[in-house]
Amino acid sequence: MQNRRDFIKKVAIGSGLLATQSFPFEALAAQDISLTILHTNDTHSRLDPFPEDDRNYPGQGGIVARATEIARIRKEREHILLLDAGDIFQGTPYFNEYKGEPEIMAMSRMGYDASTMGNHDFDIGLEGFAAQLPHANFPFLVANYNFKHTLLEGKVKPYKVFRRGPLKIGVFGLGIQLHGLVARENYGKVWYNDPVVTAKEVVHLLKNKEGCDMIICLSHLGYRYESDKVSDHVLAAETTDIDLIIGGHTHTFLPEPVSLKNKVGKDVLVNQVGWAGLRLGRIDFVFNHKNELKNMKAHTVILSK
Amino acid sequence: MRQKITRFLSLAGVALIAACSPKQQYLNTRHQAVNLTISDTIPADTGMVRFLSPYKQKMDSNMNQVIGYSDVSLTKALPECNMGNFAADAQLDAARKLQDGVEVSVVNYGGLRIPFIPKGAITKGRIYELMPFDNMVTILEVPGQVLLQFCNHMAKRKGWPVSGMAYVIRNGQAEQVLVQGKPVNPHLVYKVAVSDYIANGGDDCDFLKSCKKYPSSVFLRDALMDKVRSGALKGNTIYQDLQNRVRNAE
Repeated sequence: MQNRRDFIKKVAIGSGLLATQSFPFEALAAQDISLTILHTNDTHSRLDPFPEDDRNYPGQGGIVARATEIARIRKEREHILLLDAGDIFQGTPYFNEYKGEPEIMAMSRMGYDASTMGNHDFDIGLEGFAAQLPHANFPFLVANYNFKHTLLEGKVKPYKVFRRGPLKIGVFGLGIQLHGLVARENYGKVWYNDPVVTAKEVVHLLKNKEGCDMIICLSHLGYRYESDKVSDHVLAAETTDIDLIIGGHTHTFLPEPVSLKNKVGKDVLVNQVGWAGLRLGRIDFVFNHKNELKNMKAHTVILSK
Repeated sequence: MRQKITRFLSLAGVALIAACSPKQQYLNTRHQAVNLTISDTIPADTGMVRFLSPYKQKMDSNMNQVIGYSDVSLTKALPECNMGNFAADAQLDAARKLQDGVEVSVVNYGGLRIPFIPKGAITKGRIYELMPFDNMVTILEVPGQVLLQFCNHMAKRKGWPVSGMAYVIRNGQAEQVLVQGKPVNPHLVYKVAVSDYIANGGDDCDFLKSCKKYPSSVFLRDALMDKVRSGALKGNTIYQDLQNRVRNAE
C-alpha cells in the first residue's frame, strides 16, 4: 500500500506529463488566478492629508500617499480593479473652489476603474456633475437611478463587465434614496428605484447572460441601520450571487471585510473603509477554474479510498 | 493507475466542453484582506504632487487666512456638544440680523462635517471644512405643534444642536421642551432659524415644508466665520462647558 504523499506525487507527475503532451492543459493546469480589489469610499474632496494637529487622524489620508500605495500594489499584482463607492465631492475648500475637477482628475490619474455616485455627488446639481465627467477616464455606475430625460441619460451606466486575465468581473452600482437627503433642485428628474429589486435584476443578467466569475456591488446605501432601511446588510441578506459589496455613506471603518450570508446561505463579503481617503481597502482573491476544482474533488475521492 | 488516468481524462473532456458555454468558469476559492492606512509616512507620489500643486497653492493662499482664535477645542458629539452649540448660536445670530423675533435655531448634526477643531488659530479653511455646504440661513414660522414634532425628529436622531431651546431625550422622544426657558405652547407660532436644506425637507424634514419660509442669501458658513471673528470663542467663553440644551433622560 502506497502512502498518501507518494500517491499525490505520482498524480502530479502524471498530469504534468499530460500537460506537455499537447493535452488540453488549460483544463488541467493547477494554477491559481489572483485578483486584487482596491477600494475607497466617501473621499469627500480630501485631497490633502489631515493636518498634524488633528486629534483623530493626524497626517492621515491624502492623494499623494494614496497614489504611491496604489502604484506599489500595481507593481506586485497583475490583475487589479480599483473602485470607489461614491461621495467623491464635498468636504474641503477644494470642492468649493474647483467644483470637483481635481478630485475626478486625480482618480483618473490613479487609474480608477469605476465609481458609483453618492448623494453628495449631486451637491452642485446634475449640471455640476456632468461638467466633471469629461475629466473621468472611468465610468460611473448606478443601476437603481433612472436618468431618463436628464442631463446624465446615457452618461451613467448601470454596470460594467471587466476582464482581468481570464476572469470576467461584473461591477454594478446602487445609490441611496435621494428624496429627503438631497435638495430636490439638485437631482431633478432622477428617479430612484428599489435597490434590492434592481440588484436582483442586474445580478441575474451579470451571472446568466454575461457569465461573470465574480459580481461586485458598489453601494452607497450605508452599512447598517437600526431601522429596517435598506443597507448593505439588507442587500446581502435578500439577494444571491453578489460576491462582494463595497459600501459607503455611513463612513463606517470596518477593521476588515465582514462576511455575511446571502439569501441562500452563501457568503457575501462587505467592506467599507471609513471616509476621507484615510484607508485603502485591499482584498486579494484567488480563483480556480471550476473544472479544476471538480478534478481536485475527484482526486480527493480517489485518495480517500 | 491507468483506470485513474482514464477517469481524469474524461473529467477533463467534460471540462473542455463546459469551457465553451457562456457560463461562469472561475470560482473564488479564498481571499485575504487588509484595510491599509494612508498617511504621510508613505512617500508622496511626485507626479501627484505636481498635479495637485497649482490647485493647492491658489486655494491655500485664500484658505490659510486666520480669521480668529479659540481658547477651547470644539468637539462634535451626541447628544450635546460645544461645536453644535457654537454653530446653532452662530445661525441664530445671523437670523436675528435678518428679522426680529427669531427665538430658536436648529442645526442638523450630520451637517457638521468635521469631528474636531483644535484650540488656537482658526483659519477660513477650517470653517469651510466644518460647513462645506453652501447652505443658506432660512427663517421658518413653525407652529408649536410642529416644533414639538421637530424635537421628536431630533430626539430620534439622538440629538441635534439647538440654540434658544432645550429638550430631554427619552426612548427616542423629546420631552421637557423649552423655548427661551418656557414650555412650548402648541398654539403659538415660533420663528426658527434653520438651513435652507432643512427648510426644504432635507434629512427627512418633510414636515417642515408646509411652514412659512423666509429664505436669505446669507451662507451658514459665513455666519460661522462671523461668530469666530466676533471673538465668541476667546477668553472665558460659554463654549468651555456644555449647557444642558440637549440631554438624555437618566
